[in-house]
Amino acid sequence: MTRLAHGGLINRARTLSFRFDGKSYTGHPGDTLASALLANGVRLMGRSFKYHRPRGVFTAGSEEPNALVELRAGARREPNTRATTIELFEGLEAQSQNRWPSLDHDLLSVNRYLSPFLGAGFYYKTFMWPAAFWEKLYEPAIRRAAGLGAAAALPDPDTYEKAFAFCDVLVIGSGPAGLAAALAAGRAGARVILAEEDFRLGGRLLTEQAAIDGAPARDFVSRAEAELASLAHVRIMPRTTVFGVYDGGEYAAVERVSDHLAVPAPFQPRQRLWRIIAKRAVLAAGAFDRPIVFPGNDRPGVMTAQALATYACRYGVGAGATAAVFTNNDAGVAAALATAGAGVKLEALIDVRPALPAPLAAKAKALGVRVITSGEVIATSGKLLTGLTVRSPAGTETLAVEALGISGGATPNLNLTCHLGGKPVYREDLAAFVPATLPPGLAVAGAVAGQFSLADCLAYGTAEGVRAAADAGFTAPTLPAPQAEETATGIQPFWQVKAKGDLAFVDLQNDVSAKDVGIAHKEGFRAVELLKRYTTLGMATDQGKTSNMAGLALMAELTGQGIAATGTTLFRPPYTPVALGVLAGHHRDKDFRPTRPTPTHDWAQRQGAVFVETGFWLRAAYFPKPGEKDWLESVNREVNATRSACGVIDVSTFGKIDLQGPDVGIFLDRVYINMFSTLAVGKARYGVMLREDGLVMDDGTTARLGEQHYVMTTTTANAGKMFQHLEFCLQVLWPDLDVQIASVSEQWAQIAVSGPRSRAVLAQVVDGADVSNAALPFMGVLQTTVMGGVEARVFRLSFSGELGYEIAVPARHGAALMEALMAAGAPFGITPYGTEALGVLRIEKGHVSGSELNGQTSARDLGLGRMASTKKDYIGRVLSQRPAFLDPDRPMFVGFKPVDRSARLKAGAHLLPPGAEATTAHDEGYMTSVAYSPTLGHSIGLGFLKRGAARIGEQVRAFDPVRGGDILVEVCSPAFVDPEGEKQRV
Amino acid sequence: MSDLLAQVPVTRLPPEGHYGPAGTEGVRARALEGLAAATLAARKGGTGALIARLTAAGLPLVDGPKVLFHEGLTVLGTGPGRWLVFAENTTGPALLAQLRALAGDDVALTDQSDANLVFELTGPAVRDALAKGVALDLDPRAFAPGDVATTVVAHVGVTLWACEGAPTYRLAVARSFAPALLRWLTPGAAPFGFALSGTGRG
Amino acid sequence: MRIPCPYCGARDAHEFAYLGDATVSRPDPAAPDAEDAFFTYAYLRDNPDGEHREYWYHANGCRQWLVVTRNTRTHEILGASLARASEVTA
Repeated sequence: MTRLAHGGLINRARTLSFRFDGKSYTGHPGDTLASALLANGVRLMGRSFKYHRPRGVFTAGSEEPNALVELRAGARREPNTRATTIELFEGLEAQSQNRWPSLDHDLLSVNRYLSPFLGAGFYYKTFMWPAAFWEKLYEPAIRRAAGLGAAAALPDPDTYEKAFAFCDVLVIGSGPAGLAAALAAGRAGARVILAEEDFRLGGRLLTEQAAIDGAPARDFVSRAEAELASLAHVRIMPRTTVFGVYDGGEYAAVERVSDHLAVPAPFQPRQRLWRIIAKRAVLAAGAFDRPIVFPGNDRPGVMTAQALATYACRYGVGAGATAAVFTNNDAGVAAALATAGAGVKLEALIDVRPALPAPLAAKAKALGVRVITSGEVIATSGKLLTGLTVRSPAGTETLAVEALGISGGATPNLNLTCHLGGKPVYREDLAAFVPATLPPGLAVAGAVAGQFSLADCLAYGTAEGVRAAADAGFTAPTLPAPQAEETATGIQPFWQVKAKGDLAFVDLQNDVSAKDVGIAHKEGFRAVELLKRYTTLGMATDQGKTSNMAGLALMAELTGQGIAATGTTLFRPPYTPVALGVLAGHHRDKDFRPTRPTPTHDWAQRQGAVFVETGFWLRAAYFPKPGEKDWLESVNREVNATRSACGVIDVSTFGKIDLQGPDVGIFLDRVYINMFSTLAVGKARYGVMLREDGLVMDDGTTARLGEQHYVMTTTTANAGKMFQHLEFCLQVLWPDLDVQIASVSEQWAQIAVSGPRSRAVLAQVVDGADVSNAALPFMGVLQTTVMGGVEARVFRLSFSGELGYEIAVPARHGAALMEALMAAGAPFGITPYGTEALGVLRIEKGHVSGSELNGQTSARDLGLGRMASTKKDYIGRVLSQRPAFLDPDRPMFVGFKPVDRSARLKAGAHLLPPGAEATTAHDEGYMTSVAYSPTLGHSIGLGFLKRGAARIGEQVRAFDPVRGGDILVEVCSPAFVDPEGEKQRV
Repeated sequence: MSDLLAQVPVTRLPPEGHYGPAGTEGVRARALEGLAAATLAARKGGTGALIARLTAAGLPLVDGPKVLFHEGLTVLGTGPGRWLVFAENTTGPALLAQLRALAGDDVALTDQSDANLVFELTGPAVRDALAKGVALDLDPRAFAPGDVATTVVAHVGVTLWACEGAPTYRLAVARSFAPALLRWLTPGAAPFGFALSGTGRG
Repeated sequence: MRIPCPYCGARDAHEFAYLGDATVSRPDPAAPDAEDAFFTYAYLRDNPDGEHREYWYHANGCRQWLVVTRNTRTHEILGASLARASEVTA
């Protein structure tokens, strides 16, 4: 056990038991999985990505490259979670990953002997040939050998949700700068959100040994938290990672609501996605300690000096029985002293510098810490770290230690400042990149801005909090910033120990060594972006948070360019990995998108309808009857009943637009190719609209209800788009027109009754209105009442080609109207039909639909060219007259019958001259819609054929190489049924 | 998908009842019955005249996202020169006649009595529940009683307005989208204790 | 991204549908060069670097067409006005 006797922000009074790789351990509330494992002497936590080298924990935060585990089991198993951020809970279960058969004996660790072949660019070089081997052989093998954890293959049993928050000042991070900023802004009266990714506020203050306002730093954290919690307009959000910065002051964050629990509390989500809209933001994300590159710097037990100190001070854990620190900077020295002060036996402090600053040297002396100046660690030993070799002017010596803290300096955690394109700049004095251009509205304070000393963090944090609140309109008197003793921040840039031996790692997560950087340089991949892609340095789950600096510093040294000129790769969202589940929120499974029921949905369900999704709508596709062997039998019955007697279908899903005003007629003349200003009141007309490029946009019928009142129907699919189009025409193209439009799609239920007996059925539901052919002729409109006083509009229209009516009633009466029609039609055998039969009926009749209005066809192509008025301008007119649209060779709308009537047509088949080779040059068109016609007793199709209208009676080849189909078809009129249109006019 | 609604068809409104921890009631939602509704739109260039006419009649219409309450009418600004009017205990045709008498012939009136369902939402946690989908700052300083917003929640268009009294909102949603809206609201409100009424027994 | 709708106030960009260049206007269909002018209107668009005026439709709001001035380099929204009230120049 390496739990220290005292200290740490853990509750030693309570014990939590947990399992790692099947073994049971205990820890305390306040522990992370990493600290609890270290406290139990578990130093081996994973295997590396490529070489399967043993790896231990490297950091104490979200920048962790090594200690990735699969958390939980079964359906809740989550791969690649960082042991350093997993809050320990009772019953926690975790497994190491990327090893087989066990973490201790990983057979794939033979890969390490292949390292000469697995170096930079090995994917590109090794697996180039033969190409066919990639998918079948190389990729699966690589995926097995090199990889991260495995996700659960079961549905996630937990729920996720999204939420929006608005504030004046968002403070990201709750270290000294963040707490100071939140206090300053909160005291000024601003609405503040303080987001902290840890479960505890404080950041570096939880490890800090310096005093604030004369008291321990941790006391300041407690006081600040209490004050912030007392302010009603301040919201403290722990366990919340701000992972993205977006335009307009929007920030995305994940709140881990239940990740610290075995299972979420009842009704609670696991995680919540926040979109925070902030007038101002202060980023106080601190800095990461970065490694120094030296041979064998990846042994379990080697970690950042800040991590070593954090485990000792915050968690009361010695990362080893004995430890050493290797550094080039004052913060590294302070970390070493904090570690020793917490009770870890520190064998030596090795600093590359010739001397420590006097105050630090004095403190080291007081603590009895041995300091080796001008020293370098040149080798490590042990599977788990057992010893170091140190080179100094005094000679080379070995030290027996189980833990080594390394600190190559602080790397500001400026990830979020890059999300809108900001490029960091290098500051030689700090040996660090700091933010330069910032996202609008976002300020930086503290270590992220290169303000590394504690006093600076507090001062700049306060100043930015005051400023942010003021920018948001809050200027209350401010209290003085908290005062702290100055902490030393000196650094002597030092990146790599020049020594031969084991691999010296730059990127632990991707197994990129100093040698790989050398290869990339030698082979010309020298720009940082190329270095990243060629070596994979800085990729994967940690995105190089600890490794990027050393990588580019090494490259800068090789090129002799200097770090500033070499530059850094930029960061994109997300800052840390985000589960897809939380991005989906509640939109999963049946709630993936809204479902819109039609007014008669429940009725259709009672009839046993099979439903189909059309957009958001759920529509009845067909109504199977007992004994019917397949859908086709049901559909045939529905079609036959409609043609011989009467069928009924809910068509409420059509878009319906109410148009009023003195200029509606003129307006419709401009948006339709045909005339509507001349339409008589009480009449409806079929209309076609073009896009400005001359292609058909939509079709539908529009009826004139009054002198200045029309109602338009659009296709179901285009309902929203057409409303938007009409608004564009009215607001942008012709704002002089006096027309008011309103969507009435939801107001009216609409039911189509079709078939020779439909008039008899209609007559029984209207309240005495005359519906004879004379009173209500084809394309007539009747405004009346039905079912004893229910307002109704009856349109005599036909999509099926039969005598037919569409009856609209206010939506609440839709189901009642359907019941009334069914009752009235029962003696005639009225039959409900669905979208399948609707499709068959319209194909038999040769009416165009979505497959024909496919964005590539003109009115002329569709055989509707004669509808176009020559007396007026309308949208699309000018460009529809272009020569290509008038080319006689253009594919024209026709019908097709298989020459062998038993053959089945396929939509999508291409049309070729019989005997011609199947090449693009011979392509004469394509089939758009097909159906089995129960009326004709064979398969029929619609489509577009070169000079189609002139080729009735010819035979062409319908060729479908994709699904296999090559048959001869006969070209015919698209109107298979009642081509003269007599049935609908009776 | 929340287990809460696993047994409720996606095409139906979740049944009335209590959702969430027993003994809590942070959010209450009630479907309002018997409302008539209509859209009112000014003729081109006629907004000023319409406002003047209605103001003289005691209905000081505002051309903006504000709600007015006048003799049983709730008048919501939904766009420039456009309003959505709800009325209790009347019918669509009667409401159209009432508005025609008030506004005269030079306006466009359209019956929308069957187009929307209206819910009243109230309770101490109502803002927290709405924040799970409403991308608007609902703090009373930003969205006060009398304010209206037409917006989108979980892919569903809604018109939302703030009423007087301990946070209370009303929300109009297109009839066919109402089940989807409540499928969003119910699991989000349940953690606070959610009492739903007026949606039938399922 | 948030768009300051003149009627509704600042709203999330998801509420809006994008159309594009608001500096073009529909040509005179009766002009002798109408076909060329319509070809240009339908197909040819500039893609300026910097400030640009674009049509956005507040589909899930007040259903107004807006002219939004946006910096194509920074995505900064510099303003929005109702299209029907704005001076659209060719």
